[in-house]
Amino acid sequence: MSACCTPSSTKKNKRADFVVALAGNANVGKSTLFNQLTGLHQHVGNWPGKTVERREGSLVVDGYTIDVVDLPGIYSLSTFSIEELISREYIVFERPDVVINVVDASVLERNLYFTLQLLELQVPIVIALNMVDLAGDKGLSIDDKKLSEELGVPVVPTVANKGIGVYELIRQVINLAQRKIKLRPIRITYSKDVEERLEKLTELLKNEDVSYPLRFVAIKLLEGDEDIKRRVSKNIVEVAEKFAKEIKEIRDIPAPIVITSERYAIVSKIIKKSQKVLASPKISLMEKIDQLLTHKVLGYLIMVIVIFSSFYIIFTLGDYLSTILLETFDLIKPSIVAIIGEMMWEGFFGGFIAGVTLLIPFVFPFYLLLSVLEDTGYLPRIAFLLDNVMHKVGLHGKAIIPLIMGYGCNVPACFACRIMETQRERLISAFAVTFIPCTARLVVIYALVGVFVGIEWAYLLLLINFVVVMGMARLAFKVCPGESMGLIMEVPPLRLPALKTVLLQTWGNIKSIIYIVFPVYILGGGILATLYSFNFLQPVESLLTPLTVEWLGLPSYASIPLLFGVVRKEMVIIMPAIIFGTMNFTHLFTHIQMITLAFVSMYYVPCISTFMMLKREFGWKTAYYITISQIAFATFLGGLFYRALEVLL
Amino acid sequence: MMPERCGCHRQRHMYRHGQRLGDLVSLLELKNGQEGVVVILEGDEKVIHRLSELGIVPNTIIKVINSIPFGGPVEILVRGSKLIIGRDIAKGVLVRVEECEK
Repeated sequence: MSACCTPSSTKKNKRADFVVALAGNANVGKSTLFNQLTGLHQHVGNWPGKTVERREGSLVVDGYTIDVVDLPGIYSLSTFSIEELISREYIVFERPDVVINVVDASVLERNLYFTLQLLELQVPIVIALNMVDLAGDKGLSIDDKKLSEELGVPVVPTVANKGIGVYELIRQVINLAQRKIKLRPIRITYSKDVEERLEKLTELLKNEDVSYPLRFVAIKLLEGDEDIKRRVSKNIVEVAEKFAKEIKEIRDIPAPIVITSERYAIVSKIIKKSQKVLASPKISLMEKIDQLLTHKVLGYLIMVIVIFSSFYIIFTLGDYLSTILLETFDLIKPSIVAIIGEMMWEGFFGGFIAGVTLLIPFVFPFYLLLSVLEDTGYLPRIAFLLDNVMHKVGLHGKAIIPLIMGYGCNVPACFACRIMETQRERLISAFAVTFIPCTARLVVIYALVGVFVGIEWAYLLLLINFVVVMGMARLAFKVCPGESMGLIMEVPPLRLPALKTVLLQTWGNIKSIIYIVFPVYILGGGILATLYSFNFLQPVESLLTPLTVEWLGLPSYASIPLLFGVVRKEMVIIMPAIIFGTMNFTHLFTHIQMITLAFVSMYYVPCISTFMMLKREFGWKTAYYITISQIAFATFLGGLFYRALEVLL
Repeated sequence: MMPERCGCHRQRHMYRHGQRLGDLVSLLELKNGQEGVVVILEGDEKVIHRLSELGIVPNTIIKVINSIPFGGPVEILVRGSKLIIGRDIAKGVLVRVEECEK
């Protein structure tokens, strides 16, 4: 659905005194801290790389207005993913006054690795030592003063989800922004072999026009960073490559690995001085549940049960809610008709009622379930279980996350493909996502097939769809050139879903449908009903007859809903409901036509919003290719499917 | 978790530039619960760079906590965080088995 994906952002406050950016690893509570700071209700998901676009908000503390920018969760400042590049460029080019480096106290080592790189970037940072409670549970005790001494930057212990330490953190940020405190960041010194070459490179870089600190550029050149290589002259790149080769020969390990190893060695030293292990971690109940969820036999069993019961809940709860709403409207209809008249009711409220009674009942349970799955951290477990299956179609486990999101709405799902490491993997996953039936299409399947033909046919269509998605991914894998990386993913700890987060997230996903879509339904429905009653749409229907009637076996009036479905997929059933003023589709379609129409509308074209997202992420050409292949696929297979149904039924 | 006795894993002798590096096994050959110390990272340079950034560098202790058969990934504990790594990538992480858990 188009509407559920507008990022919640506030306009940048021009009069802000300071701009502060939040940076850190994925799953360290950055988004939670962001919400605490700005009070802006924003998506907090429990899987790595959730914040795919920066979000902004502002707050006023002690008379200062502070703009806060939430950067994507990343592990490094290399250019492995789009997010790492986005964050790096934001920090360097937009120059926030202070960067709050949010670190997970319970996984301090890997988090400080990122901190070292921020220091190499020479930005003023304050460290939010977050989740100190969790570290305590793990038997870890962290001396924040010692840590601050070692790193030479302020460290504030926080528990973001409880608001602990947040004010103190902001005080430190203001102090730093006003230069009331001075940073004495440690100098990150590498071994002699590396340092000698870094010095020579830095010397060479003096005449180059780069926005980054020269030492940072020199380090990244030795690390083989493609983006940085493009920013400096060719002869320097050649020198850097020669140096990297020399280091590899001396150390018997590739230069980038030498550098990361040495950074980790520095981190280990700091940790030794500032962190104490008080007790060995106990195996918690959550750990035991986690072992079950990822068990090589039981894990799959649980996963199948979870997925099937999710669809069952969505369809059953949706059906129940839909019936209640429909009855309510029938109840109040006479009194409203008495005021505005039958004509107005059908014309202007037909679309509204169809939307309320069909879309919301299904969208709501879907997003509720998705939020629960996201918040508990179950999705990365599915990625673990399905990695080998996904390998068969040329993807890997991580791709399952955008695919599952696709059942809600293809638009954010295509965007979420950014979590894949290579362009090729991003493209294949996005292509596969567009074949996943979003809630709008699930509603079409339900309202046409589930209600009138039988719910087992709806499930059958979904099962066929699964095969189609896998086949299409496989096809894209064969056609699309490029490199694949494979699965490397962090698994966040399993946790109980927080009711507040789940409800806020669900509301965040469906509010735009209520705000944006319903006015469109009312207006569009009224206009369409008028057009239809004056026979303005007849020429379009006749034009498409060979396709709709001859090849797909549909009634000629099916072409208008299909055309409107390009805007929003649920239009495929809402249009007939408006035009014919009924939701009893048995008068309009035979069972075979219902199944065929549902099948075709599942695939025939990406909706406009999905198309725009594809264009944005991959360019016009790819967006057109995907659209054309969908049209071709749906038309060709739809016809065959119709003929098969004719024989079978 | 399966109990594990020392020395029961398949071993491989590694020589590199004429120097014997000890008995190394890939991550895939570790049983659940077994630990190893990273000695060599093999594979595509970009991939091993990524691994190293997540903390898998030489001399790091890695504990295998779970794995999926039939070409599935392995789940490991490294530097206090859990990572899942595809089989093709894990194959290139060569470790020396440090200690065995009973």
